[in-house]
Amino acid sequence: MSAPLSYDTVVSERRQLLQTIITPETSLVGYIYPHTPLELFFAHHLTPTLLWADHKTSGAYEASLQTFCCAYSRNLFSQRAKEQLPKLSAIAFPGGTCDSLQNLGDVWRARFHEDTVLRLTYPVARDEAAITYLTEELRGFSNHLEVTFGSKFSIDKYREAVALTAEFRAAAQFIVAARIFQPSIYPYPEYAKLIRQFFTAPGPHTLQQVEQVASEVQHELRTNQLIPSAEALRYGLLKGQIPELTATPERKGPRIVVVGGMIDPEGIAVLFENAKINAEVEEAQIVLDILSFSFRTVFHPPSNLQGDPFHELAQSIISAPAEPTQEGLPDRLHFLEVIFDKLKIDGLIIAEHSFCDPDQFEIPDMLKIAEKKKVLTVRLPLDPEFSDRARIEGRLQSFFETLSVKR
Amino acid sequence: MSQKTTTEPPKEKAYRKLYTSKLLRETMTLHILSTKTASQNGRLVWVTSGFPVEIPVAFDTVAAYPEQYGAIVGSEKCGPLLCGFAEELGFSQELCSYARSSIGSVKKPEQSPLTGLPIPQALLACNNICGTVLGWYEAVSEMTGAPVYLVDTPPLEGDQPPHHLAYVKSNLEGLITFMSETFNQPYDEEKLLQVADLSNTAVNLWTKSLEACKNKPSPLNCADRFLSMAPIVALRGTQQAIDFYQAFYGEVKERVKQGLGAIREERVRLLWDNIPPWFTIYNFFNTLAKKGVVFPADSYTHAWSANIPRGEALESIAQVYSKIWLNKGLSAKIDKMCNLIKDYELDGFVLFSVRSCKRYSLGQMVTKEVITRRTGVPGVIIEGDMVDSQQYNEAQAETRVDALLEMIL
Repeated sequence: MSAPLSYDTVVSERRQLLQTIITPETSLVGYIYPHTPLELFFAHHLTPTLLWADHKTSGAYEASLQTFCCAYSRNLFSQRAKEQLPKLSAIAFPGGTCDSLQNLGDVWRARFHEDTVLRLTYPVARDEAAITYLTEELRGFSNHLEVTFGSKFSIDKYREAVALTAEFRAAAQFIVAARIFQPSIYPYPEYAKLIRQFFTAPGPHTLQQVEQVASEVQHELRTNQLIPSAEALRYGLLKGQIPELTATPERKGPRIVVVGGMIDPEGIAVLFENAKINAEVEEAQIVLDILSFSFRTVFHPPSNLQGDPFHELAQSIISAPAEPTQEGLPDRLHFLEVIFDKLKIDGLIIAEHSFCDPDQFEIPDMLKIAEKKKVLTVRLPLDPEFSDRARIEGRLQSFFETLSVKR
Repeated sequence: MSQKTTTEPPKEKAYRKLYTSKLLRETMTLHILSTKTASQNGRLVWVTSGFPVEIPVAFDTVAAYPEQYGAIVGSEKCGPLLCGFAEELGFSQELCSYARSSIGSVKKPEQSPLTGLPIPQALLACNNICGTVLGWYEAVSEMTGAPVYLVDTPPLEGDQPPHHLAYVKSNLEGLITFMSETFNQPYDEEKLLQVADLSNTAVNLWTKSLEACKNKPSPLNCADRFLSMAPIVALRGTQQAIDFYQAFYGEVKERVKQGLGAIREERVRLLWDNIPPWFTIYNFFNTLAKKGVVFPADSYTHAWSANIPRGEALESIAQVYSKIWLNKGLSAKIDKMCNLIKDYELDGFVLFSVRSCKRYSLGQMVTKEVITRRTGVPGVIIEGDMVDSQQYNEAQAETRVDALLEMIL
């Protein structure tokens, strides 16, 4: 039997990893929104790092934010108030995504005057007009970075960064597609760790790790002659479509999909693996997650190096799988339905951040689809601190037990 | 033996009732009836409170307001029941209670006040008031089959840059196409300008009524404004709104002329922030009226005060509806509240922390500190919700407001 996974280890690894990329010259910019254009920061000689929630930090927000602020926002604020965030040159908030993050940026400015608070505003729509709008927002943001940090946009740095993110995404996408066919080929917690490492410290070192894994997975798939199938699936997912599978997916145990918003994939992995051990259903596998900090970021189409960089970045961001903060609920529901149909899914885990409006509005419709497709579901109301951990693990355990009976 | 009885004169209430409240009831009843007819005729739209309603009005559709319906649900004290219907469908209790009660009423109209809002042919949302409207309207769309059109107005910081204006304008152009196709009617710019003129006339009358509250005593209290704002929300761009506000402003002017306040004895003048607790709106403000507390200004009802300038219609509308102050961030809100305190000579302020409304409420703790620092007047935060009375503790609210009054008196 596997040893339980520890979230403490996950968090401490993140901190250590971050230390490896910090030099006296590093200007680290923390960001929050998954579709933040990392390439733009690199182009200005800045290093972006995704600010993850920390399950051990809580309770320092009460003098500034109400409890109905989303759990992720509260946690980030508490980390800052307790001076537990990494040393940042600036923090980039998203505008136009959700009310909690919108107001969090304002409150942050008011509370932490010494911080450099940046804001990049995104459109909710996903059409040509939205791309044009975002192009100009990105251009203005770039100008602001130049003024704030005194470093001009470097086209060479930009191109390097586009290559970095494109190579990372291609490798990660391949792992995702391979896992859909053969989830045992690379455990979900390990995949979640790779993603976390890259977004915490994006660079050649973390890219190499992802590419190494992708290469090993490829080698394994070659043995099973699954490479063309995985590539076709990867390409389809990148287009927001799922082709008919040309090979039969592995089915050692229940095949599970996780959906949710800005939830930490490693947090889900820890809960999932530990509940599996307790329920004695070790063969259950997360075959795919549709989380903001994983699938939706990984399946970003690459930016085209030809043309206006800001337009190409905007095009890439708007074409990425849509967040619940964007228009397109019918498309997202259809995508989920196709996943159920084509990927042989037995169970759905719906991870919902406490007080996350965008996620919570979509859940009832997801439940309806799952019911229609006879996919067993469980809702996990989460906060980053896992304050209700025992009950969540209990729910997952019951979910596994019901899945076992159903099978 | 017969006992002689004496008839005591009825005790005067602490507040004065507006005689135009009868006209208000009639106006809104007619509007409700018109929404039912419009639904039957395939010409009803649901719109958010900050939506550029002049456009659907110019397309001869009738607009119903789910937020206003939420206020009715709250006033009828059936918020928990209707919100419960939405929760049965899987909508979290943490979501906006306007949204939950609206979704609940779609699910079970027979158990809802006025049998719910009539079924719409289109759902028109504008996210200048909050991001929640998108999820809410998309959820209702899944239930009713009515298509959603979102006018996307990304939040502004400072002045509106040209690309922002162009983007919002392109959204309005898309709306024109959507309305033309959905209601099989061509766009008539001249008609839109006429509707905008009607809207401006009503807005001006409403604004003058609000500004009359700078007088001492204030001719209107908070509940007066919250109830009388119904036509400016729901009937902007129509003659009915103008007719009502002409009468309303007439009464306000008359009160000012005669030196009559909204309450009998005005001792303390406070600012109100946020949507009110609809289920206890009379009780809350009238209880305070007995203590001599009046609210001559609030941050909410002043939201409908911008004129659509004459010019290119869509550009003008894009400018006005992008700059709703909820879309301009916390510092704009604080500036506005400080100005209200100064202009209306207020002694303090009450911030209602509405659990349902993140855009409005998150930031109030900072707001409280900054306003006091800048204006020198004290404030208090009370907690609750506008529709879901289960989230409101009346005794706690009273205690906190009493503490504020002790600081002032």
